[in-house]
Formats: sequence, C-alpha cells, structure tokens
Amino acid sequence: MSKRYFIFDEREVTTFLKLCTILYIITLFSLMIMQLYRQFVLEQPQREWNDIAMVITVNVLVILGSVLYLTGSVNPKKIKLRYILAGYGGFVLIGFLFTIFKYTVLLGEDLTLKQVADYFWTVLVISGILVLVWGLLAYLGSRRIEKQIE
Amino acid sequence: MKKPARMNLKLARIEKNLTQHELADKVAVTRQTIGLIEKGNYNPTLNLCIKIAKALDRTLDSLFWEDGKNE
Repeated sequence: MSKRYFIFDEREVTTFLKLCTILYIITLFSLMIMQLYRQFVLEQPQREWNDIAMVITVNVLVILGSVLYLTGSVNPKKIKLRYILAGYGGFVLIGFLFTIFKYTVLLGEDLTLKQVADYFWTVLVISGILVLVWGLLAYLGSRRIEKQIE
Repeated sequence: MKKPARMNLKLARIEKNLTQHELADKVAVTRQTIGLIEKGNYNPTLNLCIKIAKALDRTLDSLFWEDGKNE
C-alpha cells in the first residue's frame, strides 16, 4: 500500500471551494456592513472608508467579469439590441437613483439641477463603460468556449 | 428488484478482495471518498468513475448504473 499521508482528492477540493465561496460571500457582505456603518452610523469622512468601498467595488466588478468570461455562457451577439439597451437603461436608472438618494436622503445635501445633471452623466458614462467591458468579456468568453468545442 | 448503484460498487470491491483503503489508494483518493460513494452520499466525477471502473476491472454501467448487472 502506498504511503501517502496527504491526499487532496476531488471531493476535498469541491468541499474546499464551496467553503471558500461561502466565506467569500460572508466577507464581502461584512465589508459592505462595515462600510455602511462607518459611513452612516459613525459618520466618518470618506477617506476613512474609501479603501473598503474600493475593495468591494473591485471585487464585484471583477467577479461579474470573470463569471462572464470563464463560463462563456452569455453571447452578446445573440442577445437582441433592445434587451441590451433595456439592461443598460435599468443599470443607469438604478445607479442614478441610488446616487441621488445617497446625497439627498442619506447625506442631507441640497442638490442643484446642474449637480443632478452631472451625476446623471457620470452614472451614464461609468455604466456605459461597464456594460461595454462586460459585453466584451462575455463575447470573448463565449468565443473561447466555442473554440474549445470545435 | 433494482439494486442501488452504490451496492454494485461495494460488491465489486469485495469480489476483488479490496478494502476501501486499498481501492482509495489505487485511484488516488481518500478512504472517506470511497466510503461516501458507496453510501451514495457523494457523486464522483466521470474521471473518478472511470478510474474506479478500471481499478475494479468493471464497466461504468455495471458499477454506476442502477440496472447494471454484476459481472
């Protein structure tokens, strides 16, 4: 009988990965709670919680992009343009409403019409870039998988 | 009566005079993994199924299909 004292077989790898996923989600939500607590309960200035917000943002953006690229199951070429535009519109609307809600209700600022317009354009451009990058990743991912199948 | 697929594996292993530990060593997994497959509490990947079938000189059907006959 072989003398292997340490075997990391497929069942253990699967269990380990499941555990990592659960802990990752818990960590991400804990960071979100931490950031919101610092921002709205402790009312700390932005520089004191900006790093946490950055970590959360980068994580969410990277994970979505990675899922689209690595699974390759979404091919943007096969999605009708009006659905893509509807998704983009929804994304902009949610982002815009959240921004306005944050500044007016949560931070209690009075926004001028120019500021509202500026926030709208910022959300529109950032969402546009994100949709383009995710679309490109989804396209590249689906092309990669199709090449593997051929 | 249909025999659960997991029973086929256990019988094939016993017929081959192998313990769970010995079979586990042959296919490079832990004894616990073999035990769980036999209990029906873990679904092995196709790669592991093939390794087990080769180690026991059986076909995949005979080990992992409910209607598979024991050879």
